[in-house]
Amino acid sequence: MLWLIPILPLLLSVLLYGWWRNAGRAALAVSAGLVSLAVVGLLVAAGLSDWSGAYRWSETLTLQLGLSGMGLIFALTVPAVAIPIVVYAAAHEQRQGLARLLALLTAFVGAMELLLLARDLLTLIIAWELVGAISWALIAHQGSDRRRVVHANWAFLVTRFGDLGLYIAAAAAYSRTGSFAYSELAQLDGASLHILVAGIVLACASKSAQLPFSPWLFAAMSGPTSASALLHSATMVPAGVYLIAQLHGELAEVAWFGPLALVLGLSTALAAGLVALAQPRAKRLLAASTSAQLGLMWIAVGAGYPMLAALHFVVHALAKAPLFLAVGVAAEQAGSGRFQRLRRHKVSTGLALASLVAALAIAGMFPLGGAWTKEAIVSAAGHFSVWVAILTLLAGGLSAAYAARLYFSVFDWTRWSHSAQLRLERAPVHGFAIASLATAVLWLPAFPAAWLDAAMPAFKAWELTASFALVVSGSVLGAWWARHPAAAFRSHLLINWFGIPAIAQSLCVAPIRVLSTRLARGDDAVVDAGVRWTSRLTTWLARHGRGAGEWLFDEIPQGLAGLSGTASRYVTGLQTGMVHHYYLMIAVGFLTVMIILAAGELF
Amino acid sequence: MILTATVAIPLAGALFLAFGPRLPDPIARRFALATAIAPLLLLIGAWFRFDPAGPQFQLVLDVPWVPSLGMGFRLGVDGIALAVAGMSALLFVGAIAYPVDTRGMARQYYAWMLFLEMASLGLFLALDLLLFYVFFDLSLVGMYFLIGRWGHGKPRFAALKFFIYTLVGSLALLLGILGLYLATEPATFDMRVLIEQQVLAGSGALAGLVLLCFVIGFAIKTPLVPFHTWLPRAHVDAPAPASALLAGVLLKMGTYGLLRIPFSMMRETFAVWAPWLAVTALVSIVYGALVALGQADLKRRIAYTSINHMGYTVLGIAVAGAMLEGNEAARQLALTGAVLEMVAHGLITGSLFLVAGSFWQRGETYEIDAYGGLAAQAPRLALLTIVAAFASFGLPGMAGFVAELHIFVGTFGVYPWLAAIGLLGIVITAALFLQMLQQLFFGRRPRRWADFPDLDFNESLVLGVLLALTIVIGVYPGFLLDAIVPSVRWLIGAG
Repeated sequence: MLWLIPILPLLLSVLLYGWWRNAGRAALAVSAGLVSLAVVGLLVAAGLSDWSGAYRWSETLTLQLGLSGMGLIFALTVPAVAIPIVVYAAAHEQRQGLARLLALLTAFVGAMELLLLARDLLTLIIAWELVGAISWALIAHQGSDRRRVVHANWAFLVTRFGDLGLYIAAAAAYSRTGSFAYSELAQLDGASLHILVAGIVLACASKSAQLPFSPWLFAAMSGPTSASALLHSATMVPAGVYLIAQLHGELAEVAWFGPLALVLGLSTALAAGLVALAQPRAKRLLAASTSAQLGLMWIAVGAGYPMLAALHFVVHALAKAPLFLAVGVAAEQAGSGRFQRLRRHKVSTGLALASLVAALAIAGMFPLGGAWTKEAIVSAAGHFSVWVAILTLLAGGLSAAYAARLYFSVFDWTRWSHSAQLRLERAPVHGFAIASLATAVLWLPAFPAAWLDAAMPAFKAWELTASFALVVSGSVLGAWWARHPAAAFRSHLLINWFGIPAIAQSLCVAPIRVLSTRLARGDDAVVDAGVRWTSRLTTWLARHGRGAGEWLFDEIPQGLAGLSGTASRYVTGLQTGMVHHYYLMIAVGFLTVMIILAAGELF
Repeated sequence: MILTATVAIPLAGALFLAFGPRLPDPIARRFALATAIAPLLLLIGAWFRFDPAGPQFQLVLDVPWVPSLGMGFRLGVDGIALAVAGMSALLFVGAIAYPVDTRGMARQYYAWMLFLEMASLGLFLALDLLLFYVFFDLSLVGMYFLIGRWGHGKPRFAALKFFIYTLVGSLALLLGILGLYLATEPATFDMRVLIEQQVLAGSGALAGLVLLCFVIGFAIKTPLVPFHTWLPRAHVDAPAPASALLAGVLLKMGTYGLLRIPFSMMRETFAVWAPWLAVTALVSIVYGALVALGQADLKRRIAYTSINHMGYTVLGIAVAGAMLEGNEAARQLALTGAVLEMVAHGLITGSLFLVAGSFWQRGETYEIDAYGGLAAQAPRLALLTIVAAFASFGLPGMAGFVAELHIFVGTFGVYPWLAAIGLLGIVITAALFLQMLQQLFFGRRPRRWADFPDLDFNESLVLGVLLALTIVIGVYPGFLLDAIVPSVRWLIGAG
C-alpha cells in the first residue's frame, strides 16, 4: 500500500501531462494542487494504519518501504510545501512549457516521497538518482538558453559524483550482510562500516550542497522560480540531511561521524553565510542561504539530535519557499534579479508583509519557530565545546544579516504600494507566511520534546542572550547595507564561492577534457597504429613475396633442375667404354673412401 | 523444434528474397518484417515453455551430423541464451522496421538482414562448438555486405577492416576450439559434455594457451581495449540499422561466447586468469568512457560508450569466474548483472544508433556541433533521445541501472578497488551524454535546420517499443531475473 504514495504523483504526472497542455491556468492550479493534497491524505492514512510495502525484484533483491516518525515529518512537509508552489507555478510561470513544468514538479514530489519512504539502500539509490534527474530537467526547463542547460549538467554531475558514495555504501552493506535493508546495517563493523559511513557522508554532502560541493546550487538557479523554491525547500537538497538524520543511529557507530558532520555543517554555515551576504543577486543570496541553513541541520545531526534537524528542515522549508516565490514576482516586475534594479521598484504591501515573516524566520528572530530551532542547534553545538557554540552563534548572526539585506533590498517599506488586485500567485506566499507564524508554537514550554518523543537540548541563558544580540546586530548591519549599497562590502572571492568553481574547473573538469581529447586522438594515432602497421607489413610481405620471394622460390627448383641436368650430362661423359678408365675411377673411388674413413678415425 | 524454426525461418526468408521473384521494394520490406517477427514470436513461445526450475539446457535438439568427429546439429537454451536471443530477435524486428535508404536494392538489403538474423540467433541457440563457430563466421559475412554495400563514407574500407580484424579473432577462436576438442575423450563438440568434463582442468600451460586463444578471439569481437579500433570505423560508415545490430547483437557474441565457452568449460583456468581479465575490463570501462567524451562525432561517441558498457559486462563475467567456490552471493549478482547488461545494452545502444541514423537521414552529418536547439523543432526526437541517453548512463528506472548495480555490488564483494574505480565510469558517461544532449537539442537552432522534420511514425514506434521495454526491465526486472538467475546459479556452481 505504501507504494501508492510515490507512485500516485509519478504516474499522474505522466497521465495528466496531455490534459495539462491545453488546460487553463485555474484548472492547472487546482488539479496539480490536488495531486499533492492526495499525497498528504495518503500519508495521513499510512501514518494512522501502519502501512508498509515490499516489491520483489529477484529472489535476492527486494525493495522495501516503511514510515518512521521522522520520515513522516519529512514526507508530510514535501507535499505540503509543494501545494502552494504548484499553484504559484500554474499562476505565474510562462505558459509555454507550463504543462511540462507542472508534470516535472509533480514527479519531483513522487520521487522525493520514494526517497523518504525507502527502507533499504537500493530503493534509496533509485529515488536519489531519480530526484537528481528530475532536477536536471527542471533546471534545463528553458532550454533555448544554452547556459541554463550547461548549469543543469553541472548540477547533475556534481550531485552524481556524490551518488557514487551511495553506490559504494550499498555495495559495502550488501557484501557484508547480504542485504540492502536499513535494518541490517547494525550488523556492519570494521572496514565495511567505515566505508558505509564515508559513502553516505559523501552522497549527503553533495546533495545538500555542503562544502566543497555547495556551488552547484548556484547553477541550479537557472531553473524557473517554482522549481528553485521546491528544490531548495523540500525536494532534492534536504534529501542529504534527511538521510544522515534517518540513519543517524548507524552512522554514529563510527566515532568520527559526529565531528565530521559538525565540521562540514559549521564551515558551510559560516562560509555560505558570507557568500550569501556578498551576492549582488537576490536568488543567489537565497541559494547560498540554503547551503548555510542546511549546514545548521548538519550541525544538529553531528551533535546527535537528528529530530532537531528535521524540525529545522520544516521551518526552513516554510520560510525559504515563499522567499523564492516573492523574489520571483518582484524580479519579474523589475526585469532583473539584481539588487541594483530591485531596489528601484515598488512592491505590493501584502507580498512585502508576508516576506517579512519569512525573512524573520530565516534570520531566526523570536518568536518564530526558526529562532527556536536555531537556538536548540546552538545549544546542541555547545555540547561539543563553547567555541563550537560561539561559531554557530556567528552563523546565526550571518543568517540575520543576509536575511535583512535581502528584505530591505527587495521589500523595503519605503517602496510599498497598495494593490487591490487579487492575484493567485500571491496567495501561496501568504499561506507560507501564516504557516511560518504557526511554527511559533515551538516556543511553548516542553512542547517539541514531549510531542515528538525525542530528546532536545536544554537552552542556556548566555546563549540565548548572545544569540538575540547577534540577530539584532546582524539585522541592523544587513538593513544598513541594503540602504547604503555603495558601502556594502564586495568581494569577488565571496561572490564566486571562494573560487571553488574555478578550482574545480582547473583541477577536475579541464584535465578530464584535455585527457579525453588526447586519448581520443591517441586512440586513432597509437592504438590503431598497431593494426595499421600489421596490415602494412602484410601488404609489404605480399608485394615482396610476389617479386623477390616468388623469384627465389621459383629459382630454387629450376636451378636444381638445371644443375642436375648439367651433372647428368657430365656423368654421361664419363662412360667412355674403356676398361682402364673404369679401373682408374675405381681406384680413385677406393682411395676417396679410405681417406674418408681415415679422416673419420682421426676425429 | 521451436528453436530450429527460429533459425530456419530467417534463412528461408533470406533465400526467398535473394533468389525468389523480384519483389518490389515496399513488398520486400514488409516481407522481411513479417519474417523477422516470426522468430521473435517463437522465442516468446520458448520463453513460456522454459521452466526456470528445470534442467540447465532445455528445448534441446540433438541431430548427429558427422558422428565420427562428434559433430552434431545441437540447439538448446538456458535462461541466459533465451534472454540474449530474445533481445536480439526484437532488435532485428526494430532494425528491419526502421526506415533506411536502401539505394534501390531493398531485396538484397533485407535478404542480408535476414541472413544476419539467422546467423545471430543460431549462435545464441547453438549447443555445439563447431556450430557456434560456423554461425560466428557467418555473422561476419552478413555484416560485411551490409556495411560495404549500404554504408556511407568509406564503406568498403570499413567493411574490409571489420571483416579482417574480426576474422583474426575467429581464427584464434578456432584454435581454442580445436585445443579443447582434441583434449576431449571421446572427441566431441557437444557443449554440454564439454562443460561437464572440464577437460583441460589442471593441464597448466596448454590450458592457459587455449584460454588465451578464446579470450583474444572474444576480446576482439566484444571489443575490449586494445582490440577495439575496428569498431568506431565500422559504426560510422555502416547504415544505422546495421550499426544498431552491430552494437546490439554482434558485440554480444563476444561476451556471450566468453561466458558460454571459456567461463563454463575451463572454470579452473578461467579463475586463475580472471583478475587479469577484470583489469582489462576496467581499462575498457574507463578508457572507453574517456575516449567517448573526446569524440565530436555522434556515432563515434556512441560507439565508444559501447566499449565502456561491454567493459562492465566482461567485468561481471570475470568477477563471477574469479573463484570456483565461495562468495556465491556476490558472484551471482555480478554474473546476473553481466547478462542483464547484455540485454540492456542491446536495447539502449541499439536505440541510440537508430537515433543517430535519423540524424543522418535528416542532416547528412554526424558532427554533434553541427546541430543545435532541436528540442522545440523535433520534440519526439528530443524526448526519445533524452530517454535513451539517460538509460545509457544508468538512470534508475531503466534496464541499464539494474544491470550496472548488480555488477558493481557483485564486483565490490570480490574486487572492491576495481568496483570503486569502475564507478567513475558512470559519471564520465553521464557527462558525455549530457554534453551531447545540450549540443543537439538546446540553445539556438542553426538556420539550416529550420525545417528539420521530427521522427515519423515508424521511427517513433520502433524507438518507443525498445525504450518502453528498457523501462519495463528497469521497473520490473523480475520477469527477466526469474529466468536468468537459476541459470546463473548453475554456472557459478551455487546449485
